[in-house]
Amino acid sequence: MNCRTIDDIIERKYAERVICLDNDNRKDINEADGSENTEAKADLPDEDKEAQSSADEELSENGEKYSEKRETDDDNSEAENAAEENETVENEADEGNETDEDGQSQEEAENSDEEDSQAEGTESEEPEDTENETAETDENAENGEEEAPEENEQGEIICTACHKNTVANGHKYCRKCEKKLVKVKLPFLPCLIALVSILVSLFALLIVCLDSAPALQAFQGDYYRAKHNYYAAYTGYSGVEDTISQINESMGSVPVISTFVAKGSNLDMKIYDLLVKIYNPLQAEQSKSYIFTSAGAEKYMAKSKQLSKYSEIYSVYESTYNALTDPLTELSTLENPTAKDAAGILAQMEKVRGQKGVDNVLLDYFMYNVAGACSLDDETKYKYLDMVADDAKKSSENYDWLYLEDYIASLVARDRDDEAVPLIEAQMKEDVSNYEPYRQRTRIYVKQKDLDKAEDVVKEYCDNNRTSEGELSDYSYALVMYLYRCQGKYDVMLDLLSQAEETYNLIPEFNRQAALVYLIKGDYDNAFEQAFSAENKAYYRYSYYSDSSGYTEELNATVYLCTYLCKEKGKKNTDNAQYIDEIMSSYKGQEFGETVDSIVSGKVTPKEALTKGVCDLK
Amino acid sequence: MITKFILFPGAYLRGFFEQMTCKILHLETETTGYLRADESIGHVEHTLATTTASSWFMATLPGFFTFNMGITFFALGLMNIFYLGITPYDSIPLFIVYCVAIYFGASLLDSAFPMTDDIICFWGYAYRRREHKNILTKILSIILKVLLFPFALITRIGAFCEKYCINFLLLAAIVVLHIIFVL
Repeated sequence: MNCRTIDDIIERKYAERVICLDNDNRKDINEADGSENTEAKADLPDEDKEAQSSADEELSENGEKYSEKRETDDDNSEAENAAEENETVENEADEGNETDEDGQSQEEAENSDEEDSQAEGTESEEPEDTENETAETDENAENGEEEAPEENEQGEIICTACHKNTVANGHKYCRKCEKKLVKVKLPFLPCLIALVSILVSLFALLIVCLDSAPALQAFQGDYYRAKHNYYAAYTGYSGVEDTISQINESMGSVPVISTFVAKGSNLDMKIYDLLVKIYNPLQAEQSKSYIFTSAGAEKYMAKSKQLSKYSEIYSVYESTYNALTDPLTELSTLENPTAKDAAGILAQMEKVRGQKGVDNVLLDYFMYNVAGACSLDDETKYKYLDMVADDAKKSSENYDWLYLEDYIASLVARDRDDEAVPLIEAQMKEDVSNYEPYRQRTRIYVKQKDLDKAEDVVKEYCDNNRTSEGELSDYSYALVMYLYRCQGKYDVMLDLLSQAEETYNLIPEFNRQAALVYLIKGDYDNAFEQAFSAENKAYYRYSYYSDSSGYTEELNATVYLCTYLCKEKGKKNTDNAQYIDEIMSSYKGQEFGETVDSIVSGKVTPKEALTKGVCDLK
Repeated sequence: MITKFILFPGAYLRGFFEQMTCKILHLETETTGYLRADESIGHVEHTLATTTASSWFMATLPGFFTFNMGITFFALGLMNIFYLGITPYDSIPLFIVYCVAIYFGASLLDSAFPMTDDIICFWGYAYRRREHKNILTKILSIILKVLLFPFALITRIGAFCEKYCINFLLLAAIVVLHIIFVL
């Protein structure tokens, strides 16, 4: 039976007690029960008599409820079973009437039962009829019910626990057994196990509370990693070690606590993997000893296949670099290398191609960098970059980390947007925190004069890279400033500059954009000051953080142009005007591209150059 | 039944907490073996509670203990292995401890819900129509019904899920998803 309601449960639990459905018979049965109960009650102590009475009241309540339920049962099912029961009752009556004291009321009770009860599987008061008992037992077993109650010769129900005493009204067991069952002691072993479990769980709760903060940061990292926001993921993971250190310090560095509150090698591997994606395998490999700080780091590093792969890339890079020691040393000794110097150095580098330990893709990339360092023209530089791309495509290794950004920039500069756009969009999908592909995509839309789509790209980057307070990140500000400048919102852009510098004071790109705005406005003195400030910030980042990312070709071109125009056309009454000559001499002999040359030669004004195409100098 | 045998620690402790609750509520305990080979494994056979309050405690008190213990152990193991990245390379005993914590926690969580009889008993007492002595008891009754309804509903759903091993499948799915997406 499916116990869907309490009524079903009561039926199952109290089924051994006859519940008289016919109101006429109820009185007779109660009277009969009353006479039987009087004897039983006489034996009971006073307090138990009260309990007995309350149990009787409860039973009559249940009985009433039960009879209501019965009356609403389906008549058809009752009628179907009536014929079957008639036969059964006849057999029972033959045997039962001999032994019943109150045979007549017994028969009437059975007759009323057979009309209403058999479909529900209720047990009725019956004499020992083996067939019926078997049927009942089978039915009970099928429904998962308890064993059918025994009855003595007087038709009273016997306690199923002791099989001796009769069961009082509304109870399942006799009084003695009830008391025994209530007093069943809890076994010792489960008590001990439960106590130990509770104590251990309290300790576990303490560890969970302490671990929750670093685990939440790691979860944050996993969340952003799943969303391809690698920089935010890296920020999340990086905070874990600091948090754990703080927790252990505040707990007094108790050995037991610090054993459980620790990070593992898997988390270190996630950080390493992100560094590979955000920067490149070389930088990640160089930082390996700072990343893998957990207890099993050494064993993990020895066993990890992924780490072995990156170590191999690094060793190939080192061997290629070592093979180029002579030409690169020669380059480093030159103050202002020229095209003539470049030719000799590049020829020396070409000689090592094919040697053992020299990778062709890496060799081409080194040659591209030498061409850039020697300020060769763009065409020559792009030639080497195309060689890198071709060799990388042929290679089985993935070299996107090495050359792809420069290659995309060269495609955009050469107006090969159709080839650049798929590469850019793949990079945007791969890492939504990567500034460079978003910048290139915005530049392409600006070149195509589709400022609405450019705005969408900028908005997408800003939304993906908000700070924890919901503010714009550093490179979001840079992208927005570029967009405002392209849209001609110069004053808004300059207001944004002062807002951005309050939060981020070491981003050269902010001041470079401001310098370009002043060039458009014709204010060459302020343009020079902003360019000078940008160059200082780039220098500071390189000197103190070994971060040369601020030194871009666009920055060099901007500083040179602003210094030149301030010297030629400005009033030179600024704070840093004294450094103009020094700056000009440091850029002597360098190439800065067509746009700068055309402004310097006077073919176009800065405003004309900076309001067409990509609206930039490079 | 097979899942209960696999996750026997939780079933064992659940049975103990049920017996303990029966003792507190003075309910007759009919069978006390916690790990029986039938569908009531992890539960003790007992007479039904006779009042609303006792039926509520019978339905929820054992689960309160097992759920709180289970979620603690489960979270401990999950956090350290999947989020803080503890591996056997860091410490084999510690890794084993966390794996055992996940297993123990899962077994307790799998046994956190009562038998359907107990929760239906409470449901029948609490949400049936009955006469109240005065308006105050009626209002109190309504407030209690409303307050307890979410917990009772969750317990009822959980009891039926446990009956058909849905809990076990959910716990297994949680662990597998962590292995796939987090590690």
